[in-house]
Amino acid sequence: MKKAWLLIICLFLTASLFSQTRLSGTVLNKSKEAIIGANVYIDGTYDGTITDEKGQFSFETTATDSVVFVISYIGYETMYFSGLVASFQDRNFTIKEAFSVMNAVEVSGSTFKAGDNSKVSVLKPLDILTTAGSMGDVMAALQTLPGTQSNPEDGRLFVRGGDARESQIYVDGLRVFSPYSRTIGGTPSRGRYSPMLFKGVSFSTGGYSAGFGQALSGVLDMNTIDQPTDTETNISLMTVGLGLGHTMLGDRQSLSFNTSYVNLSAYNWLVPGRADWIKPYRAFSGEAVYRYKTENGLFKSYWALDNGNFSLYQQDIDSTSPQKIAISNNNWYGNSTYRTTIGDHHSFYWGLSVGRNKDFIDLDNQQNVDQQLNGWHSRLGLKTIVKDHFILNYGLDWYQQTDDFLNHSNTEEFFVDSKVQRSISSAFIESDYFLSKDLAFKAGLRLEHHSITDEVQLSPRVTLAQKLGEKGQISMAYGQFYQEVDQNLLFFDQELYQEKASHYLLNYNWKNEKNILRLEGYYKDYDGLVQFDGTEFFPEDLHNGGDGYAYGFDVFWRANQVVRNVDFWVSYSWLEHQRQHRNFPTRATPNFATQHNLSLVSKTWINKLRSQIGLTYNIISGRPYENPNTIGFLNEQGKVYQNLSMSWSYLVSQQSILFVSASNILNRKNNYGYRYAQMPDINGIYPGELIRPNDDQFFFVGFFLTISSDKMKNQLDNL
Amino acid sequence: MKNIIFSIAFLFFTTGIIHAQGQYEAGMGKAFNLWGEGETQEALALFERISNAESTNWIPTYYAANLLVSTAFGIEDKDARIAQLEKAKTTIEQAHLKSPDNSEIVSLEGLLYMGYVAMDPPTYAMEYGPKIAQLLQKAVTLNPDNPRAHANMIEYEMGTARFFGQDLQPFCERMAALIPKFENQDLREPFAPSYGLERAKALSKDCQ
Repeated sequence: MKKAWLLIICLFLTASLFSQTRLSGTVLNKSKEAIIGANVYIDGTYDGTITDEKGQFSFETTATDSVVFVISYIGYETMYFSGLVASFQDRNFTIKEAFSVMNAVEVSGSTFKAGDNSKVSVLKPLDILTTAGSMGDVMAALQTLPGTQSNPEDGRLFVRGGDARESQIYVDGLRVFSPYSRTIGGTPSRGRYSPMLFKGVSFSTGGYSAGFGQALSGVLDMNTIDQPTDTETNISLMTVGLGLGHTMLGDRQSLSFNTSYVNLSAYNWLVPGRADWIKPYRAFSGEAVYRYKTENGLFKSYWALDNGNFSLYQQDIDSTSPQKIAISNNNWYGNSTYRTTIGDHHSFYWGLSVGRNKDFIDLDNQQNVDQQLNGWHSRLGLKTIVKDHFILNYGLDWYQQTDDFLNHSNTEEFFVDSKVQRSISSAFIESDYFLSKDLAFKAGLRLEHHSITDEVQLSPRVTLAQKLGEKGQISMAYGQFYQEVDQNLLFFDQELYQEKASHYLLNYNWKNEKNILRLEGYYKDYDGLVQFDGTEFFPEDLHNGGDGYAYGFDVFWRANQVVRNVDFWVSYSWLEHQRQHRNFPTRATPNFATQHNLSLVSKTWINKLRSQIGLTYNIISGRPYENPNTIGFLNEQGKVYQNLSMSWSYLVSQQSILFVSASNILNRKNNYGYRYAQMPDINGIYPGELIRPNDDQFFFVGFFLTISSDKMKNQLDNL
Repeated sequence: MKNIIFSIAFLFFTTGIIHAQGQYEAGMGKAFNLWGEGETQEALALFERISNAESTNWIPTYYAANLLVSTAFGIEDKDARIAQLEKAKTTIEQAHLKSPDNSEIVSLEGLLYMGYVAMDPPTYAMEYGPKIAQLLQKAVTLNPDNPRAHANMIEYEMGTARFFGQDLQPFCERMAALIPKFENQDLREPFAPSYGLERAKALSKDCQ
């Protein structure tokens, strides 16, 4: 009995040991606004509550002595306060918004991204394939963005008055040596690399980071897929050829490859163009990516090779009879990169790319021109997060390229062999500094040494960005950029200095749920452009005396779902450009720099038909051309170019998709101005001929099949 | 006397345990009540506190993540929705650490990525589509007796089939076949997930 009493007393005793304290207070943000629904509690206990509409809280705890008081709220930093229980009564707390990439101002020059990062992404990953008229070519899809001057018969990227050479192309941060397929006048070249193995691209039309060198006008960096998710086989049957791809997955490693055979014979027979083909274009190409995941890092190796050839009879205004031209091209490229994090604050990047391009050109079975390029690029990059809002990027870059040019005749004693070899070593450092989440700047320096001329160039680059409200931001950028001269000119004179461009940008960005609006004005100053006397084929007296300028503005508006099931974008570029370079007698607008470029792109999803209809409309103002029969230089203007393209993608089943596409559906006869003979006729007049594309229209039908180990993987993801 | 000291010590010890045990039951019970009453924010906060205090128990962490994932679907503002999905992701990671290769958590992770895809298909479908299928499948493989893993998987396949206008009957049959699995669940672990029967019943009749 006595024991029983004792037990009861003890029970009361233990219960009373859990005594209660009431804690209370208010949680506010920096602007003294109440935080509603923040979780406030004592660490390691169940004791806590959430804040009410006034940001106030009150709860009881059995904890005693010193405790850790926690406030956690989505989008804000979790705050920890240690102290005696009694000190958390009637207290005000201020919590800080978490610093994250999602809500901070963005500091980059005029960069367009296609990828999964929804903040900076302007194009979705698959836009490249589904943009009507692009025919699966990355370069063609990018030409629907502002800042580019589209030259449809050329196909390469021309940025803000710059020629195609001024835009440099990278894969996973490493230089590509010969990015475009080999073609001949009138047939546009395509990017060599298929978009299938890339997860995203970042395309900058000015003010790019100090990590990139050797580009006066633009930088395109394409990133291969880090981690495929499925073992699968892809088969494509197209009117122009066949394709086969496969991805294998292991625990830590994976391998993807993609091969294709393209032959335009059947197509040219069905839809003959203007060119007089002997052997229409045919090519075999293959690409592979191998990836290996280490504890904290990722090793990737990308390889691509392609072999193409064609022959035709070509006649131009200067030739008396058609000339037989046969071209065979052999290209391979490989790169390997390794990225890893070291601790919480550092990451490391190393990469090496190597490439070789060979062209064999046979003219009338009499003369042979063999051109060969060998190059490598290696890069070492480090990133240090000094603080959340202070990030440093720095590294080294080595680049080497050798060009060989061999021209020999079978009939006469004629033999030219030239070789140019040079290397460029660089170092760069760049800091991203956020003064607040609304104001940030990026400052970088790049130091480059060129082996032939021994010149050393230091190029500073700065970007300043300020957020305006929740949706908008304004940024300014300045940068200096150097690039070596056209490699073909180095055969004639190796002692040429690098050409220089300075960019000044002012950019406004506004973005909400459904709309992206970008306005950008720019001024670009060219200096040290190469000039020479004589002709393009026999330049004399080469020197860096040329210069020029470009200014203009770009507008981009993308609206997704503003009209139900319709996604569209509008790009407009206005350019005013003049330069004196090469053998220009005076400053003039080169023929690739058109003044107005407008693109309208729309994609409409029709659920009932399980189809996506794409429409692309391009208008380009007339191109300047030189008429030797008139006074002045490059002051004639060609006809306005217009092209309406259409594509239709139909999901046949989960695994298969049918794609039909046609360019210039209105069959407008576009031309690119006139070309004139080198010599006048007997009346002293230079005869001219219209420059026209080989094909006014292009049609494409393809059937794409995915065979996956996982039956749910489907083509739906590809739309 | 020795006995008395022993009993007192024993009492302190056991009431301590009972108290802790009771606290967990009471805490979880309260959280479920709040959830049932539609007080999701409070329920979530409580699950988080319990999850934080019970450093080895995956169940409260699972429910915190579950609430974050399921309520994210209703958030209109995209930035807020992404922030919540990101939080759900870290909570699921915590749950994985407490209980690796757990069929329930893996299946929930599949639903998490569906939250991203549903929000913005063109951005996320290509990257996460295959991942969702893979996670839902993995959850079934990890525990073939988990009816929720099966149900999530069937529902996902059903959505695709409906889009392609395929016959839904086989999916309804598979869903109906799950009902006994739901009814015969092993409920020994307190508060372990056991929900889903009603939804499975409803979906199994959704073929007309």
